[in-house]
Amino acid sequence: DSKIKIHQSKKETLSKEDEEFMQAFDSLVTENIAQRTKETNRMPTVDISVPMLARKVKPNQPMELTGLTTKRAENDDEKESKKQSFNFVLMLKKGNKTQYQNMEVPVTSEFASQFKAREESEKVE
Amino acid sequence: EDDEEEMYNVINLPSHACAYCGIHDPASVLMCNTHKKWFCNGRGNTSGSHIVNHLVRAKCKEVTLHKDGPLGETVLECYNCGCRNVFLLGYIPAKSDSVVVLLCRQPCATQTSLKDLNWDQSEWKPLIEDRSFLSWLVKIPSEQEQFRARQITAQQINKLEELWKESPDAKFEDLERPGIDEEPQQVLLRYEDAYQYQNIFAPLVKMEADDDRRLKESQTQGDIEVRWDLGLNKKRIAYFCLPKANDEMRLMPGDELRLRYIGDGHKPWSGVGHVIRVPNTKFFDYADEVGIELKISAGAPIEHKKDFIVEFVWKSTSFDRMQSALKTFAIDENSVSAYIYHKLLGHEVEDMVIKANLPKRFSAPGLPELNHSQVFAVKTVLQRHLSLIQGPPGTGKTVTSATIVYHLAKQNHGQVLVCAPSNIAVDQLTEKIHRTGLKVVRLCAKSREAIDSPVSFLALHNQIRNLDSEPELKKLQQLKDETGELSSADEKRYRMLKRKCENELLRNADVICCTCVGAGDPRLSKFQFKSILIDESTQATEPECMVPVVLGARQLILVGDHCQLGPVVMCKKAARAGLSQSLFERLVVLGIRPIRLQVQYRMHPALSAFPSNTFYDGSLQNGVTSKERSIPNLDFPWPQPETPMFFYCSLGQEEISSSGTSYLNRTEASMVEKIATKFIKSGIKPDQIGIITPYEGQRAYLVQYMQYSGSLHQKIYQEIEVASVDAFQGREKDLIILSCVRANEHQGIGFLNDPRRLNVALTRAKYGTIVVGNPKVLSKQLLWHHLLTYYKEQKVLVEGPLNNLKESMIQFSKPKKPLN
Ligand SMILES: [Zn+2]
Ligand SMILES: [Zn+2]
Ligand SMILES: [Zn+2]
Repeated sequence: DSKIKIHQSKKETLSKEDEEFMQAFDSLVTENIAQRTKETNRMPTVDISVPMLARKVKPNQPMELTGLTTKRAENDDEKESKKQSFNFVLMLKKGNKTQYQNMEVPVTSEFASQFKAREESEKVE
Repeated sequence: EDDEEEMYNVINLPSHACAYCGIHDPASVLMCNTHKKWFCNGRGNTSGSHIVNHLVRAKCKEVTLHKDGPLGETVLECYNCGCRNVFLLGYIPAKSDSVVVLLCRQPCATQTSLKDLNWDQSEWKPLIEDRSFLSWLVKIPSEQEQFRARQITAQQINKLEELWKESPDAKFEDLERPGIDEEPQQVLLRYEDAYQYQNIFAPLVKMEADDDRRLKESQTQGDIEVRWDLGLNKKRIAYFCLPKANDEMRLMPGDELRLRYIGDGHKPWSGVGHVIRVPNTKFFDYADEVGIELKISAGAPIEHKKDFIVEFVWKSTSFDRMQSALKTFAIDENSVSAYIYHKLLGHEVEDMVIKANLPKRFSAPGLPELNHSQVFAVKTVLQRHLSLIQGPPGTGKTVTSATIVYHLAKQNHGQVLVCAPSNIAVDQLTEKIHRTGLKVVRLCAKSREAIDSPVSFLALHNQIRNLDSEPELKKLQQLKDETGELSSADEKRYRMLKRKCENELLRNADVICCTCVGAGDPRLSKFQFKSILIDESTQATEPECMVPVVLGARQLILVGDHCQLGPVVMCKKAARAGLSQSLFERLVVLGIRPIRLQVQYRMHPALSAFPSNTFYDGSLQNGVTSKERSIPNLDFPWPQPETPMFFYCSLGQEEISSSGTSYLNRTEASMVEKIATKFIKSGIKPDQIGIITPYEGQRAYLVQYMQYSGSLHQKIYQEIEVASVDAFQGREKDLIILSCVRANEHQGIGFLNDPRRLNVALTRAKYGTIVVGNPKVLSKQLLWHHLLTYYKEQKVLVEGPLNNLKESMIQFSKPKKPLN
């Protein structure tokens, strides 16, 4: 795999279509939220318990990410620091079945860094 | 050769390749459940990832992950309630375990039952962040992958989405197909003949019709819960909530909807009904409901409430009538007089005066005395074959029009036809003309007969009911009302009699009033009208205006104001080609000078000064005094007591809300709420206040914000009307708060840089106007720069808490480009 560096001129000013898109996105989200607020008064509330299965996986050992990084572009910045990721479990439904899915979250992501920060503060305590 | 190879590559892309750029790593793509097309989570050259671009532009909400991706084939949905709207989905982490769960933001993520458990509700985050999906959920293609992929621009994405509406299987390559990009021919200022006129307008009308049909027919909505009712006329009425009724469907009374039962509790059923009620912007009980009156009541599954879907039944009637008017104009030389024919086409014609017997008194019985400029308008119009009357806000346009109609009718040139694009405008004018003592018939579309209005008693279908001259018809009508139907022989007889009586009533009327499109009603097809007046003609498209015109116009009066909002054209292509220009406007450009009404009776003189100078060459005079437009004992901190207006500087940066989007800045919403609250506390009734805000999204936000954060009772805020400028056109309120919200550094001020829209916004209030906005951003627009400078000069550009307003010393930005 030969590494190449691509120089691309930075995006010029936003196009009209792009601006329209951003506006449309914002109002879509706002509308959806407003609509949702109106329509949801009764919703079955189910206690969602953290699965035991997930508790076994300990997040505090950042692991080397192999598969993902090789596929990724080897950006200089990226190569430098972030070859690590957290393992966590994502709970979702497939049809009626609950599914626990192991996921890798690169430490760069907001979620993971928050998690890390929390862990550290807990350690301090 | 390269081309060939590229073709080869294109053909071989897997079916899950991003429909925009071709990226096809299963970990990076998502399928839109509606269109079954795949898109990647890379943004390429645009401001959002391709999947988000698609979802927003095509208005889709549900997605599926690829089976070969890390999560396998998965429809993203809320763990608790199954909500699949990705714009509402997010996740929350467990407090101490490395687990996250997908939940919708409302109600599931905020549910109290979660509170005591192990979940950290405060950490809810949306799945879409910065307009792309979270990278740990759907991989973002690497930069290298993105560079290697097709470099599609936002503009091309737009075009592709447009193209998919017509041909869903189209590929990117089809964008280059000849003809696809062709813009329709532009409208002209002058036309050789009416054939050329028809050739140019007919395709635009067709485009608008196609767009309208696509939009409406795509509006099937499921999960509808019905509330059944019985109308006074014994017809079944179904009420239900349509989530998208207001913004996207643009539902109008009279539209047809098909209600379909899809549950198992009843045999399959579907019924068509006319909309008799649309959701109201005000909130009272059931205000969000749409009501339809079923055409056939029998057999409706009224024992069921759930499991209904609703489809829109698109009707081509109004477009057909425009097309037919264009054709009539071209081929029927009696459709209009020669003078009007050439004038409308922009030919040079020598002016002709009508030797009218001018009345001694110009004011009409039952109507207010006219002022000088109104008398001048009436007098001039009566002597001309074609006239334009420009009526700036509050200048008594309707009274002037009604007076003109009165004199026209008295001159015995036959019946007068009076039209306007909207039913509301027609009703208002009908009412005024009725007051002069003329015999008026208001012709309504059949589909709108169930809709009540202040002039219902003048409507043809009601006059028929009250007709005593035909006892047999009355009897049959009674029978029909009581039993719901007639035997086929009776029905035949009933229809025949009804048609005869309708015709008689129409023939005997002095004036017939209907919408522009309504003038194409078959019941008028045998009629000729020498005198035709079209009110609010600047809000009609040209073909719409032609529907009444071709009914024989010899003397044509167009009333309107081209300095206020023009007609709404949905199809962008048609609008670009000039369909959004009204006939009135084109005639002005052709050099026909409108007669301007010059005395305004609405606004406090301080409020009319800027609009007068900016939009009407300073010609607007005040027919009301400051005293008449002051609210006595109002305890409100106007910065200048004599000037009931100010610009309230909001400098708060837009916040990034928890939804990951930056929408309305809270500061501004809270400022608007405080002003409204202050007004109400000092004795103003909520329905005296109008809040104008640019976009639907902000409207909803403000309504919510006031109700939840306002210090007064929720119900009070519900009575304040919050709407767009467009919704306020033609209307007035005592006090107006204009919230410019959306303005930020990148996005300009969108809607408010249209001078006509600003004009409308600034001219709605009678007693006071308050503008809330960010002067730094707004002053970049020349027009706003003028406005802000004006406020500053008046010492009403202020900041600080409402009870301690201080003149703002903020520096304006340099305006960017001159107005076009
Ligand atoms: Zn879609
Ligand atoms: Zn893509
Ligand atoms: Zn949910």
